[in-house]
Amino acid sequence: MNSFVKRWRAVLPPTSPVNPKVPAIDVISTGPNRRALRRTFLVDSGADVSLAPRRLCELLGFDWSSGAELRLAGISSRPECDVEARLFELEFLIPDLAIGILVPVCFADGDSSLLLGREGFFDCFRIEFDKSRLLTRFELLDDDASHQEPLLTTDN
Amino acid sequence: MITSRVKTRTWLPTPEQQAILRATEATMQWLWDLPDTLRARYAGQWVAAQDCRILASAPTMAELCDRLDDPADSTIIMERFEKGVAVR
Repeated sequence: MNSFVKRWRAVLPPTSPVNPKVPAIDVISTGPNRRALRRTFLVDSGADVSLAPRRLCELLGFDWSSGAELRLAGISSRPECDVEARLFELEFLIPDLAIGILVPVCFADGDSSLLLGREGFFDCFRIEFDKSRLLTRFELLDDDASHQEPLLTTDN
Repeated sequence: MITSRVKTRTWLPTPEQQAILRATEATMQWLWDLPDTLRARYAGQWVAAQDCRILASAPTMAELCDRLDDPADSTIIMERFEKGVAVR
């Protein structure tokens, strides 16, 4: 089996004017301290890179200050709204496929949603969002089909 | 400079990881289908759940961790429920 389908998950309040369900996937993340933490990440094709709060970084045993520095910009163009972050490679274990994937993750200095962005994760899968049925289909790509070029480069 | 490449591997869960999967499966499904009333109550909050019950909630993950005896307990699942429409 090299594919699986996930139901979308309700994360918005029931009073939300839009559908409260969004694409999501549950993964187990591991870090230097070997702790295995199961979390649900929203699958966000609009995010350049995966995102999580600094506290998760610390729970997994990473030294946040040792990561590559990044500044995250959102919808606001004001520089004061940028958020400091650190970049680490994190292994996500996918129970549905029994595979591990190394994904670059930005840990924001503060709070954030748990997002699986394009870099790394979307290179491993063909992902189909089906809003009419509130389903996401993940098809694991062959090694030959996935990118083998450097995925993420930051000056530090 | 940091460079990352696509890296996947077959994952054979260790006995400890299998135990974590078993211990969290029901809670994960419970959170996935959390009733509207609870989702409304915890809108804009992080929640920590274990054995299909909410242990604590807080506006940020850091504050939530501060309210738990062992926030790195692998049998605890933490989730954030959005408070409204989000553009990420």
